[in-house]
Amino acid sequence: MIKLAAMFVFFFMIAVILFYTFLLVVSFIQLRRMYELDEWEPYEEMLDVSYTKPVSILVPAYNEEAGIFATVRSLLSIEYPEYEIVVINDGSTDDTLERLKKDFDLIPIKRVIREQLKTKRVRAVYRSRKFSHLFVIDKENGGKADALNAGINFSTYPYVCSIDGDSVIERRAFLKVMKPIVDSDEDVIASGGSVRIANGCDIEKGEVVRIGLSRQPLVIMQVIEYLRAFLMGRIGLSRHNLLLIVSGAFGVFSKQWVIRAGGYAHTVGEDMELVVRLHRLIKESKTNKKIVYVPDPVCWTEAPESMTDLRKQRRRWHRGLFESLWLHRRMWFNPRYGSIGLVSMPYFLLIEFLGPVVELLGYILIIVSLILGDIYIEFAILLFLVSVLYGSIFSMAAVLLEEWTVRKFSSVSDVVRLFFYSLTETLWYRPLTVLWRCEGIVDALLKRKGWGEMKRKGVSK
Amino acid sequence: MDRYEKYRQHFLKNIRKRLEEWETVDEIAHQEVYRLLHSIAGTAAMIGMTNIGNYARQLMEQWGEDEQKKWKVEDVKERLTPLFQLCYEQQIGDVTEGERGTKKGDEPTVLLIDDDPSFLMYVKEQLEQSGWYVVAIADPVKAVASFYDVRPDCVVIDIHMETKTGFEVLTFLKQKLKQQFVPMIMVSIDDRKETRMKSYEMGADDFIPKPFEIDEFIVRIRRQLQRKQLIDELLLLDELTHVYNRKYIKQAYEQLKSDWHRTHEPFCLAVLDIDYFKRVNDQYGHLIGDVVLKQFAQFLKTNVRARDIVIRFGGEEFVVLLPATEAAEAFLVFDRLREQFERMTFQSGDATFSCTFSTGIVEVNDPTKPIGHWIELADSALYEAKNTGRNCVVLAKQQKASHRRTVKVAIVDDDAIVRAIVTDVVQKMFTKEKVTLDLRAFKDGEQFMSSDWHDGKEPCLVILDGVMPKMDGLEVLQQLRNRKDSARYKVIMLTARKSENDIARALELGADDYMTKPFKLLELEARIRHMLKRMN
Amino acid sequence: MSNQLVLFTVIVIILFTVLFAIFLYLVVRKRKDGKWKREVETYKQLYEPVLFRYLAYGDEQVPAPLSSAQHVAMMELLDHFMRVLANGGVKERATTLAEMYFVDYLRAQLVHRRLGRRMNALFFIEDFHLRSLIHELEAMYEQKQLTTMEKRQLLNMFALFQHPHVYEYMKQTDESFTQFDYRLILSRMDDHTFVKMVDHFFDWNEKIRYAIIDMIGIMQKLPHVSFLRTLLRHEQSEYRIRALKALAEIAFPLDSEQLRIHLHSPVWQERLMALRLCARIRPYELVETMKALVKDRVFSVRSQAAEALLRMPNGLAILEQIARTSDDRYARDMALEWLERGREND
Repeated sequence: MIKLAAMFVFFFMIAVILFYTFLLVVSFIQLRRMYELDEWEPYEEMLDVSYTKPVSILVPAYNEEAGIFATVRSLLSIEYPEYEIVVINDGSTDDTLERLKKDFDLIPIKRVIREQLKTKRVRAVYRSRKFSHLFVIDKENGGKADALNAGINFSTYPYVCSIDGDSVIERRAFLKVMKPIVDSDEDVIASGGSVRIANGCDIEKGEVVRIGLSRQPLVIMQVIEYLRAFLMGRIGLSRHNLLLIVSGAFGVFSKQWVIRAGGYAHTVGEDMELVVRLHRLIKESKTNKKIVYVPDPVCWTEAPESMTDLRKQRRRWHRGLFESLWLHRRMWFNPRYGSIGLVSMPYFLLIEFLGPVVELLGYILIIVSLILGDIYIEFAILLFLVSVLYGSIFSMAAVLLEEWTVRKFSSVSDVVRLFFYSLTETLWYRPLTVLWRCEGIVDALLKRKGWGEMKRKGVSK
Repeated sequence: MDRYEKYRQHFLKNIRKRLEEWETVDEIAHQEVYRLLHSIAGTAAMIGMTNIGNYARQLMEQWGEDEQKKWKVEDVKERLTPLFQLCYEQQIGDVTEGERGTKKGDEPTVLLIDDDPSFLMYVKEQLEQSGWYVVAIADPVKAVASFYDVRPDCVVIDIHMETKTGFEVLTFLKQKLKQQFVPMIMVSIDDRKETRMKSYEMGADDFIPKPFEIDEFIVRIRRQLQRKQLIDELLLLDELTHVYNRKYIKQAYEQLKSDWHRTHEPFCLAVLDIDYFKRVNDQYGHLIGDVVLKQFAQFLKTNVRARDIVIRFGGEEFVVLLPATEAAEAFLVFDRLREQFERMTFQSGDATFSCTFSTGIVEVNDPTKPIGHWIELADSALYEAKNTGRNCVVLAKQQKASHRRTVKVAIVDDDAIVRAIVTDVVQKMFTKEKVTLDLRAFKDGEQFMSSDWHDGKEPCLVILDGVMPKMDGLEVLQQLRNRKDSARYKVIMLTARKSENDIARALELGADDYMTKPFKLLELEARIRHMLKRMN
Repeated sequence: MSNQLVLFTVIVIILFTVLFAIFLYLVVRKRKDGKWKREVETYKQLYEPVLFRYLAYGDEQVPAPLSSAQHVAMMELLDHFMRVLANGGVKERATTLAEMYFVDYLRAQLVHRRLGRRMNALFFIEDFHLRSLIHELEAMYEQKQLTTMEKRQLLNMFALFQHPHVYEYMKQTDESFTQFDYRLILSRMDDHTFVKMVDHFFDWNEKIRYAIIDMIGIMQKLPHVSFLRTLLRHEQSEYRIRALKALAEIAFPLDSEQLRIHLHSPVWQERLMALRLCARIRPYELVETMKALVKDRVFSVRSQAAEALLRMPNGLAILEQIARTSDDRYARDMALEWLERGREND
């Protein structure tokens, strides 16, 4: 029995490793070609307003009193020819609205809002007297998805981008993330950039002044995780239009398509769910639209620094993943949906969603075997070493890819630290996240609700 | 003015050197000639000598590269003559500061004015061999204009020139000189009696018919130079101390005035007086007094800078003129001298004594006022120095409560290169303005707004980039306009955004002017100048 | 079992070697990279004043770059200056300098095995107008394994350098080219070639056609207005819409009768674009038609109609009247919104 389970775990792991290796190779080839490409020249043309599509930036805010100023501030000085910023105050119970009114000198305006998506009632619309392209919508509380939908209703431009209330966008990120859309004559209907961890960086008034690596082991592990997820996973998936997640923290969508898809839905992982729905719509309407990921534009966001917050976040994410997958279970292994149905969905279902369960099983098996004593100790050690090394190789490969694309880390010591921490991942971080994600599955099955909000201290000084 | 002058000089020198080298060999490989042409063609265009470059290129095309021919020096010279002529024309067409820089020291300066370049080229070379510094100018108008820059000791003028006759030049220079003596030599092919007479009548010191034997020409010029030296000494040098005498002061002032019009750099006038000189005379006798005066003059001459002019104004009073010097700088100079002089000892029989002197300094920032005005101001400063205990340096009152207006200029841009460029432009503009400049560059709006640059009441000019991190230009503009003293600020927006909306918005918010990147330096200068006028 | 053990040991060793190799590579790379960056930065600072004087006044001799860090520093600096300075002669001087110093370096980069390097070289060649490398570019264009990115950039440059065959090259472009690509190419063409493009309008594929119409508007090419007007009678609405958009961009005073036809078009995008043109040229005779369009069933048409009315000489009064008396609730709301926007700007 144990042997059978062990074999199962073993082969599952092999399959996972193979899939990741495949993604790694794809990303590797893709990024290596563009290595050392000038980071500005390709985008210069984009600054011309006649060529570029205007974007409405949506910032949903629920009790973001602390961080909202910095976020809006950083958005006000982005380099993009034509855009508007729409902050949606989702019935905050703190002073978010007051703060905005004071900081940006808001005045109420009259606007005809075209209700293309159903939302909670909008109480008032404000415009800043300082910045004519800054608007604030005050509405009744309805959750993040509802806020975003209200923003979409209000927005006047053909593209929308949602930015989380406490993240900071690099100034040229919008030009970079919009480039595939403009380049493809709008065949690309959604485009996402990278999300990186702001902890450890110096951010002043919404501008990243110095990029650094946090001293906190927990944060460093997340940095590695993000690098792996974005640079390896998404490039590989994006290449074959398999992308299922355009980060909620930073992604641009065609408004028309979002509306056709019915807007954001009230799920935990509303961003992933929307992307899945867009894919579904693309396939069902038999068009040739694409969803892509661009590694270069970066959005900096705050990562949880305590175990409790991280645990909450991971549980929520996993529940979100489950909801998105469950809602679209018709797509699983469904050839009608092409590669999305046959590759992406199974990948997310089996590897991303169920992987932790299998892994947990593996851990249990090891412990049980150790207790029962029917395990060759050399064999166990070697197996363990293989998994440590493999994990580290993936991590370091991700750092390598980072070096070839965005090259944000400047010091050698950062790389050295990333290396040594990546060696320890299997020892503590991996089992922990596996455990939390399994808890997430339990939550999902028990339909436990709740936001599990993280305690924010604000990224900006 | 012309900044590539020194490169031209260098360039021409190189060509000349190469030719000299060739003089010593029997034959020259074609490739070498070609290489010379090549380097001429390459460099000339870069240093603003386009026509020379083009000509060299033409020759290169005519001759080709691979010929196996050998050249004789004469052939090379002959074939390249037009090219060298071009070179010389170019050089003598642009006499400027740069060229003056090659003057080594005290050698006499001869100014040649003739519109025939080959003549100029030849004579210049010959005269230079006599150890003189020769400035050759082909354009009479330019020659007249640069007279004060050149400060010739002798002028050779050709009577027949296209744009202006030599007589006109002569008359003009004579008028300009008045009390100063500079010998003028007229040259002409026209050797009629009338021409000669007219030359002398109009004040020429000599007339030499063309063509002339060069050795005779040199002798005649040397004679004029010697006369000039003699007369200068007689006229302008103080017999006792061998520094300039009082008569020279006007001429020197004129000289500085003309410099000022060109550079707008202030200069200083200092009046020095030996303290208790009467006592020296009384105690040790007049002979010793004269020794003190002589040594003091010598001390001044050796310790001031080469460009400074020392004049004995009368008795134990001296005037020193310090070109291109601000009051503060002059103060330092004389304070140093004061300390040095204090330590000097004089001998009278067995007695050793030392002297001190007091100084009054005035900075001349408006030379349209007569010299007397400045001497008066310096004198009153000197008076004050004497009153405050002697052996000290005092700046004239006007200098202390500087009546120079201060203008504050700020450049706010996140692009370091733009900051450097604009700073450069503004600084250059202000060397010519009669105002003090408080110039600062900021890399973002926040740094700018929180700076102490805003303190005070002076008018402020802000050159503001539209798009910046942290706090962008429009917001800075708004904050400035919300200040109580908003009227102090004039704002020029510098924006790279290609959107008309932003420009409209900037103007709406109270920008006084705007420019889009990329911008033209001249336009930027013009706009800044316009703004400054409005700030008055 | 021991066999398996050996196998695992081998795997462990291999993996460890791989990992260590990556790690070493990264550290070395980072080191080198940092050193390189510092070097380039130092040279940039060194060159800055010299290059500025040379570019702005032409009075400085720029020393030839020797190492590749010097090349890169000088090229980047030159590029930066060209983005900031517009003095007469700056471009020419930059080209002269580039011809003198960078041609060989860039030529070598053009055949670099990495795409990133090749693209950078192309961008520099374009920025510096290095026409002398045109043969190398042609040769590059003929290569089989050329990527689309390079192909686009090369065509851009051929257009910019007024290559005699740019027209033929355009004909050979494949499906991967988008309208945006064509726009960029067209934007770099000289007038002569552009005229030729327009003359053969209907020989082109649809994407190029659309791009041509758009560029006439964006670049305000007035000589082609009559061509746009012929397109207004085209049976395909897309052409009419784009032509109207271009005319609106130019603010061409189209006669009211013609405009009225488009205002009554069954295609809403056509009505929208016609209104956009109205907003620019303020045709008084069409006020009534515009008023009717504030009640249009399409939201953006209503909004655009209200804006066009606002732009009329007595726009505020017209909108006030609509806001008070219109029988259509949407029209009243829209009028109110634009009234407010109009007043804000006063």
